[in-house]
Amino acid sequence: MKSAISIQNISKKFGTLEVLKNISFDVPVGRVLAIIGPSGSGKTTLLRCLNLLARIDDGKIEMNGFSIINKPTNFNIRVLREKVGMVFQQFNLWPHKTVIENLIEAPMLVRGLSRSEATEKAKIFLKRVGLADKANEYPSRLSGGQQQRVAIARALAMEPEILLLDEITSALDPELVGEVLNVVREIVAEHKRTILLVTHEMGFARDVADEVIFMDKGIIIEQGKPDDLFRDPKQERTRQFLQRILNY
Amino acid sequence: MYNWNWHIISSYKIVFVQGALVTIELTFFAVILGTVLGAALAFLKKSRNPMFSFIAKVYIEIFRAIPILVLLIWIFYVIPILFDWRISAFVAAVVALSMNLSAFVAETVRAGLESIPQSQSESGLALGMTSRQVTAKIVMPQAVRNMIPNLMGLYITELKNSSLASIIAVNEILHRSNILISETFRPLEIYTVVAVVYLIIILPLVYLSRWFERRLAKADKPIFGMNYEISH
Ligand SMILES: Nc1ncnc2c1ncn2[C@@H]1O[C@H](COP(=O)(O)OP(=O)(O)OP(=O)(O)O)[C@@H](O)[C@H]1O
Ligand SMILES: [Mg+2]
Repeated sequence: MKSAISIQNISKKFGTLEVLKNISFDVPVGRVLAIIGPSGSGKTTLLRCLNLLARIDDGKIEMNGFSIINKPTNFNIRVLREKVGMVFQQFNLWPHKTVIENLIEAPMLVRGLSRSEATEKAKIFLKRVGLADKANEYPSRLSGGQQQRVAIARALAMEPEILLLDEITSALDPELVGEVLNVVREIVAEHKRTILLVTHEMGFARDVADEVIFMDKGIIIEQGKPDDLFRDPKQERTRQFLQRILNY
Repeated sequence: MYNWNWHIISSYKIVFVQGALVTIELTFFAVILGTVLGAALAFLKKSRNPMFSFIAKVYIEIFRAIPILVLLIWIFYVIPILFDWRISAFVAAVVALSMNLSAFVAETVRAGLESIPQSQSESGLALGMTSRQVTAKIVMPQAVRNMIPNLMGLYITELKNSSLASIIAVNEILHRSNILISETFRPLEIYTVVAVVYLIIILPLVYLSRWFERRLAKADKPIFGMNYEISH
């Protein structure tokens, strides 16, 4: 099957700290991969390497058949990022722009859409995350869950082929987690995009993922189908981690 | 008891008005130039090219340290001798004032840029925007809001500093008043009026800058990062 993301032996250091050690995996087109693991295991760093917010020191990444070594040009970086959307734990909306302005900025600047084209499209995506009525609000007027849904719509507005979701519900109050996860469920149900998601929501990962990776200290400890990995982990470390997080 | 003679003031009203206009003009040009230069310096200092950032750093250190008066005299008297190149007193004053101002503006702009969290730029970059687009559309608009109170303070100080130009005979209000004194021998009345004229120009600016600050403080949009609460 064709891979949307193919990672071969990548490693990444911050100074002397090895954050990613010889990581390899593949994600077929249209599939969902969930990454779980304790804090500090390198999950965020891994996602950041995939859209080149961080540079790998070694190894090779292929995204949509587009290959990245450790010294890409600015142009190549932008070509890649256009196709790879990212949603952050802290939403990172732009507070000086309204919701709709947050959505149309990149399509206008990067894809060259006119303001009216971009606005038309943005409205469709806002509706899909259930926030059509908030188009002209400033982000600070929205709840955390609403802000995160706007951030998802902003990523979707670029019509990316690959979506990277980094613990997108971790900064939310528990009662707001559901509305955001539901939006992700709907995106998954479309089967249009390849999704790589880091999450602490084990139930959710089990539901939506086609494959799960457990990472610890920069290493992939275990990889498998969600039902297998969650029900019957092969590695002791995975077992301990799941026990800890499920009893929490 | 001193015998005030205010009559003399009203007959020379026009001198004060013209002087005030030159003061404003001088400040205006110095502020525009100083701000543009200062912003350029701030970006130069942030530049990845170590040469550029070093030059900017040295410039800022030097011009923050040199007293404006010394700079003014140096530019007006020394440059013409060294380079055989005449410049008018007004131009010399604009150059000296703006060079001094630019060093302070550079620091304000740098602090303003740094006040915007990296995550704001990253969300733009992640969408494929260039770093120039991110700076122009995401970082600068937010940073400028944070800079405004500081910049306003610098501009008000610049207006006061413009009186130093009287030393090289720029026709601003203080210099004209000094000439008037030598003709009328009424320093008390004249200096009193000078002080009042400065107050009349500066006080509205002070209130304007406070109004700006208050507005920014209670604006809908948080000045830093995100506000996770719904505010009612
Ligand atoms: N820019 C950086 N400079 C130096 N060290 C960093 C940097 N970013 C991350 N690290 C370190 O790299 C390690 C992995 O961090 P990372 O954020 O990738 O972990 P994570 O798995 O996402 O953790 P969490 O679940 O808490 O989000 C941590 O030890 C962190 O301190
Ligand atoms: Mg993380």
